[in-house]
Amino acid sequence: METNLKRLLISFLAIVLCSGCVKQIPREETRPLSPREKASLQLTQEGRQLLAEGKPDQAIRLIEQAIGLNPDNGQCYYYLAEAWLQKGNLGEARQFNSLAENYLKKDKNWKTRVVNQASRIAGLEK
Amino acid sequence: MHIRFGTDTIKSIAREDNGKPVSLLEIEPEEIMLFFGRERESRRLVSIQKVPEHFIQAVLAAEDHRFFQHWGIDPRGILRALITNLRHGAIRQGGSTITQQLAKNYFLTPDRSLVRKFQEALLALVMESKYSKHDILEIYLNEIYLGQKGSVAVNGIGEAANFYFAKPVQELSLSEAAAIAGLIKAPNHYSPYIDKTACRKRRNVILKAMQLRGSISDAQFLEHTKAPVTPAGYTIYGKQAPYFMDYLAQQLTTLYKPEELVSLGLSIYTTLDSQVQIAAENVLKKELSRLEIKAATLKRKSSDKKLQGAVVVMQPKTGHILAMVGGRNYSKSQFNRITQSRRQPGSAFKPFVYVTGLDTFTPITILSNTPRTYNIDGKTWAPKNFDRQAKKQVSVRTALENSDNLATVDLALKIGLQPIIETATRFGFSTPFKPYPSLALGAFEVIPLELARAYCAFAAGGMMPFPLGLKAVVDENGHVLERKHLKIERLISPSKSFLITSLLRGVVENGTGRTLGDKGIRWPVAGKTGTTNNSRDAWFIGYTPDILALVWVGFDNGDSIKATGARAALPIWAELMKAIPHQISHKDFRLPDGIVTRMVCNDDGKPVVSQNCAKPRKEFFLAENAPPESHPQGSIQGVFKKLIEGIKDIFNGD
Repeated sequence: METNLKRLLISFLAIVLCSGCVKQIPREETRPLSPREKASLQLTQEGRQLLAEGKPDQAIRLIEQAIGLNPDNGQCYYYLAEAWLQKGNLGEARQFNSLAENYLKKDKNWKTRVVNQASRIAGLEK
Repeated sequence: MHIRFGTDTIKSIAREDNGKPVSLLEIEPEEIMLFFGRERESRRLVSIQKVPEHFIQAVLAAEDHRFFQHWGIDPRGILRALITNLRHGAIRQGGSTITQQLAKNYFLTPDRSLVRKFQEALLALVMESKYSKHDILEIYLNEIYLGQKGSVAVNGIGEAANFYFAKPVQELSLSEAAAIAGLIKAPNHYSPYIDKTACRKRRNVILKAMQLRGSISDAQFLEHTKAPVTPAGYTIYGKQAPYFMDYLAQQLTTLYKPEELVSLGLSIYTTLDSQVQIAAENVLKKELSRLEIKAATLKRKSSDKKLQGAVVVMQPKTGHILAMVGGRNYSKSQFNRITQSRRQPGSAFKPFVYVTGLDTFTPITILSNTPRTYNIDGKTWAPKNFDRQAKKQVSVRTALENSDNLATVDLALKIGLQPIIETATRFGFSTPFKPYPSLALGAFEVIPLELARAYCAFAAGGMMPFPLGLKAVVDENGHVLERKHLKIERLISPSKSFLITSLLRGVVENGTGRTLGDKGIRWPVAGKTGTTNNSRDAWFIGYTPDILALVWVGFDNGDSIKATGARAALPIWAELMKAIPHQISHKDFRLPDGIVTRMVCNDDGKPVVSQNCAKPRKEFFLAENAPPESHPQGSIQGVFKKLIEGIKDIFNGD
């Protein structure tokens, strides 16, 4: 009986504690982008558009500019790898894919895309 | 475009037509310099009609007074030169006419051989047969080399008149014209910017020759020989990033022929950030002067023996060279200490020893820090610690933070010297390293640009970039002829790179670079000081995730600067970073996968196992060689463990 009371009390305390914990978890705040980050993203988007149009040379120019503005923009490396793939330079594509992996592995969607890109590169290298 | 300005920033940019905000506006690139010719000469073409008669007479008096009488070669002049040279037993006078000089400058090499002399004479005769005397003189006056402004050659009388006297040729006085004519013989010896007395003497020799030939009157001679030589001053010729431009010019000559560079009207785009460049130049000058004021023994009278310094600033993830200052004063020395010098890196080399050992050693591995004598090729070598009071045993972290030489040599010998050489070679050093223990202390000379590039790999998660100065070459119709792309290579894993960065952050926070905080640098920085034997070189290489700068201070002749890297080079780094806030994001280094943390005891670096540890701290490890997690009795983790076990007992019950 005494044990059952203890179990009940502990379970109650655990619920109270956990509910407190839930309230304590802060929402992830979205940090405002710096002008460099914004500009880098815009260039990346323009580069992506050029890639879609089959213009890898022009895309590389823009994406490299984007990296210069914000080297932590992992998407740049993905698209740069994509551009080198379009140009058939697998060595460069592999290097930039590896960098994209470093920056994007914590983002589920991007991680899958980077892994797929790595497989495509590996497939072409065979 | 509508641009709204804040106090120090641009608040917004919007299109004028529809008011839509613009996040990126690319402005016309800043023009740094123009290429004019093979020797990067600068010139202003002048028609012979505009050249005053007294100028022509001065040039003829100086170089070839029988110009209008001979046919390209002057037998009398040759004979006169021969007699003078025989009398002195050496070549004191040349018999070349103006036409011969032009033939030599345009078509021939400058070597002094009989065959070359013969070719020169032949060409002179051909030129005289094809062109009028006035044409030849006009070309000569626009072609002749008349001095140097930094790395740019001054060619032609138009450019010279502007450079020396800041006026057009037609406005030059007789004495000024004679001074310029006098320069032809040896422009850099008689330059009024180098030696006013020599310039004045030479000018008066020309005026005397003009008087003897009746080109000027006695009164004119007297009046103008008395006049002082007053050059305009050439601060107006300040050239931006001269060392960087030399570096770039060298790369361009591998891509294009000199004639193409001059004639194709190419636009050359670079990675240079002019704000960073100006800041680096100013800070270096200011801080070197400060060092000289603080220590009078560092002062040198001769300009070519002065205390020197060099700075290179790179974007570690792209390899873009944002600034390059190869020396203190380009007009005095064009030697680029970033790309052309080889200096011992001293302790700045140590990270390459430590990174080699990361598979086996952790930041808490204990190293011997006691004196030892080594026998190398029959000679004894006994390294010493800078801090004689250093502990006898230190952890890997402490050894690198405090730059302990003895512990580093201990580590190097445990790792093996050959693997360290292999690491250094992979990191792009062109130095022919040898497996001597002194290798670990940076005894082998390296090129500073290679050192900066190698450190980029630590700042960029293990990827080393190719250093880029040249971005693109575009022809006059806007067609891209050449584009240099971002090139990177993985050298080490992101986790190893993070671990070295963590150790190098320790250098800045607790070790030899800790004065950085006192200098106002309060954002995450990793860096390493370096001081070589007898303080011949002082280094500081520091980086954030966005920017890397290498600073070297020393004397070209290897004199001691009597200061460490922390005292001489680090303050330059700090001042430079404060001067370029637009390049500093204050971001922290990213923690990659493959890194784990453990609580360790600060006293001995061992994992925390008991409550007796006075200063427990967090340490980073590679996941593959981290010590097991420990939960000491009485620690918070221990209490929680006990509590959870107690609860489990209650629920498992009975």
